[in-house]
Parts: sequence; C-alpha cells; structure tokens
Amino acid sequence: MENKSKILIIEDDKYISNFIAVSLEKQGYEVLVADSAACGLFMFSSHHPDLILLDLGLEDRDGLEIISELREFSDIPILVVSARGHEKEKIQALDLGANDYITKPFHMGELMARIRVSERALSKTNSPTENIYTCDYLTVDYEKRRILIDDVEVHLTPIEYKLLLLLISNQGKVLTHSYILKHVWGYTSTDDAKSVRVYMANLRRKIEKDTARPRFILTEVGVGYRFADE
Amino acid sequence: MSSNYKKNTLGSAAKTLIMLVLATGSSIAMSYLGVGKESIIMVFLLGVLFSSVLTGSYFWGILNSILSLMAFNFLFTVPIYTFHIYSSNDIILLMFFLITAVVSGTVTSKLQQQIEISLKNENTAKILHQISSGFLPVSGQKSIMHQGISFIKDYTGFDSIIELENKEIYNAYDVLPTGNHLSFEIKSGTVKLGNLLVYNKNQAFDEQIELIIQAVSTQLGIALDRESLYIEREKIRVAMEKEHLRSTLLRSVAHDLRSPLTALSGAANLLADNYETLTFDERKTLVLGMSEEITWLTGLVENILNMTRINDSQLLIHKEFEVIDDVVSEAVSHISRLLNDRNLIVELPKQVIMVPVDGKLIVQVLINLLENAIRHTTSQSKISLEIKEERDFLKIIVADTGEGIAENIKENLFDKFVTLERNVTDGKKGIGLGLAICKAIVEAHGGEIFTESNVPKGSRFIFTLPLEG
Repeated sequence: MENKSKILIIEDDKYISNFIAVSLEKQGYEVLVADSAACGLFMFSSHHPDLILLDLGLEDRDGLEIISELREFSDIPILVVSARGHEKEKIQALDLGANDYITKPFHMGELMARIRVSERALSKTNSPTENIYTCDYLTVDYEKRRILIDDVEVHLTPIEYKLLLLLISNQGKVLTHSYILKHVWGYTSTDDAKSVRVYMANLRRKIEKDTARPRFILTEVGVGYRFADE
Repeated sequence: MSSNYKKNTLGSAAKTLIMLVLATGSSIAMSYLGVGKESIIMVFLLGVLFSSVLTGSYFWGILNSILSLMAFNFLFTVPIYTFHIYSSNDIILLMFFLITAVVSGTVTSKLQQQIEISLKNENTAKILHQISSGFLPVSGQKSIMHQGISFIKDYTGFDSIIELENKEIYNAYDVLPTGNHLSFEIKSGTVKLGNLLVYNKNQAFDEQIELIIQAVSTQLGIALDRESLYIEREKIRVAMEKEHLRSTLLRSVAHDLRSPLTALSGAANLLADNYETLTFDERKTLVLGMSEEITWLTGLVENILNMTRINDSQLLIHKEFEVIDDVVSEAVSHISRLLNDRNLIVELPKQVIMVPVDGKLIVQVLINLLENAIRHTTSQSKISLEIKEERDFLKIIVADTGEGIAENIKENLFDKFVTLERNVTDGKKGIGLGLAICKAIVEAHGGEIFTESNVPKGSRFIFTLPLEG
C-alpha cells in the first residue's frame, strides 16, 4: 500500500471522532484526534498532518476563526464538518479558505470521497496540465477550445466556457457563488448570484443529458456548485 | 383670540348704538305726532331691553340706559336741547326710567345668560355621551388613541398628543404640535397609563372644555385598559394553543421514536453479545436494518426541526432567485436512494426559470412530497414530477399511481399529525408532519398547495410558487 496521508480530526464529540478515526484507519490513513481547538492547533504544529477535518461547532473557539488562523500560514486542505441548515456558516467557511464541507449526518462513503478529492487536488497542483480533459461522455480540448458531448461538438459562450474550466479545475470541490463571480466575472457582489445561476443552468442544458439528474454539475442549494469528480 | 374679543365688543357697541338711534328716531317721530313724553320714554326702555337681549350682557343695557337718559333729557325735557332739567317731575321720571332700565336690562341679560348656560350644559352632556359611547366600537390601541385625539380636536378645537408610560408618543398629525401644553393623566384604576397633552395655545380652559378633556382622558383610560386586557387574553390563548401543539408533537414524536429505537437497540445488543455465533449474512442483515432505521430517524428529526421552526414564529424564509432545475435536482438526488424500483419521471421546463424561493425549504417540500409518493406506492410504480410555467406563477406537480387519498383524511390532509391508520406494508408509517410542513412552507412563499385525483389512479399533489418576489 502506498504511503497514505496523515489526517487530523478536530471534533469534540467523542463518538463521532471515534467512528471517523476507526473508519479512516481501516482505509490505511494515519489518524490524529483533537477534542478542542487549542489541542488541534497544537497537534497541527507538532505533527504536520496532510489534511484537517474540522468540526465548526467546537466549544472553546469558533471554527471559522481557526480556518482564518490556519490560512495565514498554511495551505493544508481543510474539510469542514457542519450541521445541516447552516448554509451561511458553510459559505463563510469556504470563503475563508476551507476546501470543502460535509454536512452532518453524513455517510462514511461520502466522507471518504471528499477526502480523496482533497488529496487528489493536492497531488494535481504538481502534475503538468494536460491538453485534453475527458470524463464520461464529456471531452474538453483546451488547446482548440472545443467541447464534445459524445463526440459531437457543442457551442459554449465565452462565459460558459470559463465557468466550465473553473469547475473542472476545482473538481469535487464546492465553489460558492461569490467565488465563481470573482473568478469568472472578476468581481464580487452578493446581488449577482442570480446571473451565476442563470449561466450555470444554461451550461447544464448544454452538457447534461438529464438536467434533473445532472452527471457533472451538481448544485448545493444555498451554497454553490460542485463538479462531479468520478 | 383677542381680535375675536374685540370684534365681539365692536358688534355689541354697534347693536347698542343702533338700538339707541332707533329708539331716538322713533321717539322724535312720536313727539311730532304729539305723543306725551311719559309714553316716549317707554320707547327708550324698549331700546334698552333689546340691547340687553341682543348683546347678552347687562353692561350694554346699562350703557344704553344712561345714553338713552341723556338723549331723552336733551331732546324732550324743558329746556329742550340742553342737559338741564327744570321740572322736578322730569327728574323723577328720569330717575325711575334709569332704575327700571337698569333692573330690567340686568334681569333680561341674566335670563339670557341662564338660557345660554343651560344650552351649553345640554350640549356638553351630549358631547360627553358621544365621547363615552364613541370609544365602545373602537378596538386596537392606536385607533383608541386616535379616537381620543380627534374627540379633543372636534369638541374643543385643540391639538393634543398622547404620551404613554413607556415613553411611546402617539401623534395623530403629521407634525408634532408645538407651544405650551397642559397635561392630563390617563388612568385605569390606580395605574397610570400615560398622559394626554393638550396644546392650549396659552389659553385657559373654560369649565366645559376642561370637563370634555377630563372625560376623554377617563374614557381613554378605560378603553386602553380594556384593550390591554384583550391583548393579554389573546396572548394567553395563542400560548396555550402553541403549548398544546408542542405537547402533541412531543407525544407523537416520542411514540414514533420508540419503535425504531427498540429495533435499533435490539439489533445492536444482538450483534454485541452474539457477534461470533452469528453468520456473516445474519450480521449483514442486522446492520442493514439498523442503517435503514437510522436513515428514517434522520429524516424524522429533520422534519421535526423544520416543524419547530415553523411553530416558533412565522417561518423565517430567506428568498433568493434560484433556477428551479437546481432545486429539483437536489431533491431528486436526495430521494433517489429510496426509490428502489419505482420509476421517477422528471419533466423540467425548456427555458431557464428563476423563482424567488428559500431553496432549502422548497427542496424539503419536494422531498416530503416525493417521499409521500414513494410511501404510498408499491415498487415498479410510476411517479412523476412536473414543472409548468404559468403566467405569473410556477406550478409543480408530484403525481403517483398509488391507491389515492382515503376519503376520511382528504379534508384535513395538510393538518398536522394526519396519517393513514392502516399499517403501511414496509412498516414505515409517516408521523404526519410532512404535508403540514409543505403547506406551511408553500404558504410562507405566497403559494398554494392542493391535491387532485390522478387518472387512471393515484393522486396528484400540486403546489404553486409566485414568480415575482
């Protein structure tokens, strides 16, 4: 087995951290568990983990604070665990630099998938970008700026093309509306999430076969969009 | 006000003068006709009476009598055209004239004043009655205060505002009146509710006005007290209703939690105690059962949380323009695990439609409706979800091919805790909150939810969402 990553779990609920730790160890990961923010930050600096699983509802400190503190000096992937219905908190966490989030209650399989995505994102930054991206029936030719669906070319407007590239380069990661606005349109204004939605819906109509059960562009209602990775 | 007073004086003076001139004129005419001065003096007496009556004040009567005396003396006593009197007879005549004129003038004007006062009293009594009965049909704190202020304006002509004990100021006009004001307490029993401030424009109030203002402030106290009692009672009623709802919810939840918890703890104990002796397949079945039970519990908790959010206050919705596809696809992906062999057909509109909704809540509505459809259909059945754009609203239809809605629950289908009594085949009875939540959410968005029969069988759940925020 290859050298698996070291994961730091910061979670104050013992049952949850226990079952996550056991499941991750079964998958061959090295696991560190911290039950408070202070302990977590200490373990981060002493053990140099590869990824952090952070519960936002800690007792001693606000999880969002920890994210911004870590981001001052580290690019370590942070996966946020938050309760359902706290959309604002998720968006804040993502905008502060968290890589992804997962909502309680979650399936172990879902958590594993998110961890794999974050790992892949880590390794990808080092590998050279290829000229052609292929996933299922979608092919993107970066050099010729061509999009093929089942080998049939579809025409995308420049903004739709930019959106698609942004999504593909952040595969598996949730992009908030304001993140997308900033990277495609070049500015952020919270009122303009509407246009992101419209462009995304149009893009989806062009590359998805069944828009009700999208294959590529998944919506996280109230938060943003995610490009399916597998 | 002082100019008014001046006007009054001028008017009275004019009336008196006219009376004097008329009396003098007619007495001159009569003396030409040869009428004796004893009769002529009666004409002057008449003039004095008239001026007393017309001016309503004995001052003018007395003034007129003196003037009349001088005129008579000048015109009719010897020597004529002088103010001298030779005859003692004339002196006595004039003295009696003066006494009679003053007495009768005074009495007349007193009478006049009495009449006026009683008229005024009658009027005041009427006003007081109107004030006390005027508050009866008014309800609502604001309307009561408005009524009080307009009574003061109507019956006394003064502007006023009401200052409640909590420093809240009620002003019926666009701008706050300025100037001096007098303050009247508004009381209910011994409790002070506030002050009625009447802007008096530096004028003292006469008895009538003071009485009216007192009456208004008393009635205000009574009406406001009545109002606060009413509000209190309403609050208690709502609180009781909420409490009742909460206890029903708790009871129902506790009941519904018991059976899955029993199953879960049974299975978990069995696994912990007999792990070695159970076969692999047996373990797997137990664990799958637990996982399924837990999924159901999770959904239940989600709905209960939503329900408490709805119960706690008016549902807090945070609307944003969402593309309806996004909402539908999230709901569909959420329930796809529950579908088994059921065939879900989704029809989305061709164009991109934006609708102002709270995305998460509408997803919950769709999930609840789809789960409901799944719960009431057997595997292999067809379920469809259709979105239609109408002129100014969006119509969302969830249709199933189940056994339709039982007649006995059709009427109150969207009420809380309504479920089929009959056991559902897979044992997953709903708690009867799903549709109630749908109704609350849809109505909070300004839409409607209702059902129809599906052809040839099953039912259609339809809800609308307005397209304009």
